[in-house]
Amino acid sequence: MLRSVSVFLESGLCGKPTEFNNNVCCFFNQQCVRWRRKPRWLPVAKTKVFRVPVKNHAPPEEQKELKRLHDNYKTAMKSIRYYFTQRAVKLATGPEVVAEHKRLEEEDHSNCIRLNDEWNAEVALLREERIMREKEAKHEAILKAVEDHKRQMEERRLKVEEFIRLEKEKSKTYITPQNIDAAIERALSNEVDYNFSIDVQGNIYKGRRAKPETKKEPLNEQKYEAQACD
Amino acid sequence: MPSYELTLLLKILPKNELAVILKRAASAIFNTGGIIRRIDNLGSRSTPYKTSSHGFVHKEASYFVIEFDAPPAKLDSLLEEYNRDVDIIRNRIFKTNDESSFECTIDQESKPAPYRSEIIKMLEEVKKKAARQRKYKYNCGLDYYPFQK
Repeated sequence: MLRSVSVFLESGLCGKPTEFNNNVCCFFNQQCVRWRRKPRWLPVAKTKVFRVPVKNHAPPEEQKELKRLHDNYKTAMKSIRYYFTQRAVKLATGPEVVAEHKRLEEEDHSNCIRLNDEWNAEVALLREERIMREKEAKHEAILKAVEDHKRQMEERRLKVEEFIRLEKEKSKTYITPQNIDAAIERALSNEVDYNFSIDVQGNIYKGRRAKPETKKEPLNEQKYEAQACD
Repeated sequence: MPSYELTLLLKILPKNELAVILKRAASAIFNTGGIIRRIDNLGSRSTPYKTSSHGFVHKEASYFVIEFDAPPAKLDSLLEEYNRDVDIIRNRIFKTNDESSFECTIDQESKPAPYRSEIIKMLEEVKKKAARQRKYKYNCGLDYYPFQK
């Protein structure tokens, strides 16, 4: 497909076939693999298709010698690597090393425990102090709550007693089935009006249509005389 | 038993018939175990709008206020009874307010705004808030303004 695209481009878009590659470089974001000469999709050149590169064969003695040297090098390296690996393993897992490691760990652990105990003791002191403080505060709060409750109940009792006293006084004017007829008669004969008006001086005029009494101004005789002259 | 106010709009009728209706309304209250504190007659007056009730349109009514105490559970049955009464045009029951807790603050309210205590408090709050906010100083060494203008 790439080939066909390039052919299409060659025939259709580009005037000069020699500039094809450069033009394609402009159209596509191509990736060059052969050092700015050819894009990736171009095949081997026609002139190089049947070229067979000549292999450079060394003489057999030299090859043998090279192999021997190579093998020697590999064997030596392998043995050295094995030696060092064994030594590292011994350093990490030998009985003395393990014992030392364990000793250090135990020492560290005991140190940690000691430190933790110290801290716990310190915190315990603080905690005791705090708990004592809180206990006292709670005790005081409870005492205060009890006092408040007593006071509130006393206030409430007084309030209720006052209310009852007032109600007892009012109960003399209650309307009951015995005196309902008289009350209705009284209500029907006396009309009540809740409306009132108030002025800026704070005078209250009771009644729906009430108005303040207007003062009659005394007649100004001079004024009338002046008018008469005109 | 809490105190309630019953407002009644009655038909325009002669005095003796009004007395009968009121007696009926009062006995309903007595039947619930309540008592009446006061009966006020506000007179006959035209209603604020045409009011239809029990198939008739009324333009005038006799206004009554009955202050009474009754068990709260019985209020619904009271209302139901008054709604059935053909001579009652409208009825409502309100809970009376405790007037002793009312405090008149008209002196405060009638002052101009900057002299009212609540406004003074608000202005102080605003001043405090403005004092709390830090202002950028132009002589602090920066040769540009570091915030958005």
